[in-house]
Amino acid sequence: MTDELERLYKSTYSAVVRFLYRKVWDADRAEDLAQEVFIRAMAHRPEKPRAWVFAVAANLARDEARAAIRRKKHLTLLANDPLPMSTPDLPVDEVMEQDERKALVNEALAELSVRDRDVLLLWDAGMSYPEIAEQTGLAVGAIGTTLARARKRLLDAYDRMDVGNSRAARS
Amino acid sequence: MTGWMSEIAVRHVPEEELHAYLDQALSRSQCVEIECHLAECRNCRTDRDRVAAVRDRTTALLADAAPRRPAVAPPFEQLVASHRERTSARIVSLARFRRVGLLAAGLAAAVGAGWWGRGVSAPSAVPTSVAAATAPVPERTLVAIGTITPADSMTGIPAIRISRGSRPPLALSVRARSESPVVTVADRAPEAAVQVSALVDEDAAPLDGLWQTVDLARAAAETGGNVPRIEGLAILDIQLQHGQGDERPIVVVAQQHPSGRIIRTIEGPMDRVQDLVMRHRTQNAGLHASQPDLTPPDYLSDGTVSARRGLRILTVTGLLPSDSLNALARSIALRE
Repeated sequence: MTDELERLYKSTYSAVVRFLYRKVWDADRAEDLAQEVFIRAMAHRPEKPRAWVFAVAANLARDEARAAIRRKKHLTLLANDPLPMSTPDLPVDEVMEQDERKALVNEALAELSVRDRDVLLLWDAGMSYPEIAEQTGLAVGAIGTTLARARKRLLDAYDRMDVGNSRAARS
Repeated sequence: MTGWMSEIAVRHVPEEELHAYLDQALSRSQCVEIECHLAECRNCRTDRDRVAAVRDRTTALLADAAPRRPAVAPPFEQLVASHRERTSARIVSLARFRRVGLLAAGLAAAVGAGWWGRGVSAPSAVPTSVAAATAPVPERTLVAIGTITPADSMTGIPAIRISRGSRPPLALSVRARSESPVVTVADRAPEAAVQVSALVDEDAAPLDGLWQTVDLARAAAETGGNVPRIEGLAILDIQLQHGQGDERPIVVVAQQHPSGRIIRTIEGPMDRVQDLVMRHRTQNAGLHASQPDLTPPDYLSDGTVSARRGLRILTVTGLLPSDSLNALARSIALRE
C-alpha cells in the first residue's frame, strides 16, 4: 500500500499541484495543500487512491476558498505568486504577457459553473472519464457533454475578455 | 453509400462524442464505428477538426494557467515523517483528552454518590413519599415481579403482592407514585458474561520474526503485570516478542469476541505496533483497528545519565466495526 502510494505520489504530485493552483491561484499554497492531501492519504489508505487524492484536493481547495471569503480577502492572481526565480532569462515583457494571459484564464474559468470547471480541471489533471464521473457524481456518458460545454464556454469567455482588453488598451 | 442518401441513413457523430473520441474515452468498437463514419462523412470530419482545435486551444490556455515554476515533489520520506509526527501528536492529545474526560467523569460520579448518600442516610423531616420522590431512581429497574403497596389502613401492615417469580429478586428500586411509595421488586436471571459462539479467525495473519507463545502468568511476569486484554473474554493465545535493551516486549493477546470473531489486543513500542497493524491490514483489507491509545512508556537508557522516553501504544484489531473496537480498547486499563 505504501509502495502504491509512493508511486502515485511521484506520478501525480505535479498534476495535483496544477489542479490546486487553478483553484487557489497561489503556487506555494497549492504545493502545501498537495502535500497535505498525500499525508491524509497515508492516514486513510483509500481503496482508490488516485480518485481519492483529487477528491480531497478539491475539498481542500473549496475550504481554502471559503476561508478566504471569511477573511474577506480577495485572492487575486499573482498576489502571492512572486516573480519566478527559476526563469531569470525570460524577458520582462514576456513575463507580463504570460501574467496577463494567466489572469484572463483565471477570469474565464471563474465564469464557468462549478461543475463545468471541476470536470475540465479534473480532465486536465489527467483523470479518465470514469474517474471524473465517480468524483463529480455525473454519469460517465455525461462527461463528454460537460467537457464539450466547458471547453466552449472557456474559450468564449477568454476571447470576450481578450477582445475587451485589446479595446481598452487601444482607447 | 454516397450523396444525400448516405446523409439521411447514417447518423452523424454528435459533438460530445467527438470530444470523447478525441479524449480516447470510448471503447475500441465505438472508435471503429466513428472512424468508419468519418471516412465517409465530410461534415463530421469538419466537425472533428473543429472539436480538435477547441480541445487543443483549451489545453494550451490551461497550460498558461499553471504555476510558473514546475512543481517538484519533496522526497516521499519527508511526507512519511510528517505523517508519523502528526499521528504521534494525535495520540498524545487523544490520551490527554481521555484522561481529562475520565477525571471529569470520576468527579461527577463522586459528587453524585455523595449527594445520593446524603439523601439516603440523613434523617429526613419530609414524608417518605417526598423523600422517595427526590431520591434519584436507579436506572436498573428490571422486570417487576410484584409490588409493595402502602400500609393497609386497617392493619398497618404493608401489603405485598407478588405477581410472579419463583426466583429470588436480584434488584430493588424505589419509585414514588403520587403520595404512596411503591417498591418494585425486580427479578433478573443472571446472564453469562460471555456467550461464546463458533470461533471465526479470518485474520490469522502470521507474525513476522521470533514470537514466543506464553501463558497468562508468564506474560504477566514479562510485562510487569500489564497484560493488555479485555476482561471477560476468553484468552486464546498470548504471543510476545522481546524488545531491544530496556524496551518492554510487544504483546499480542488473541481473544474471542461474543460474535465468534477473534480480536487481538496489541501493545508495544509505537513504531512496531504501527508496522504490525499495517502488515496485517495489508494482508486483510477488512481488518479494522481501534484508535491507538498511549500506554506507559519505556524509559530507554542510552548509556548516559538521562533516559530516552519511548512511546508505547495499544490497539485492538479485528474484523469488527471500528466503533466496537474503540469501545473494547477503552475498556482496557494498564497500570502507569
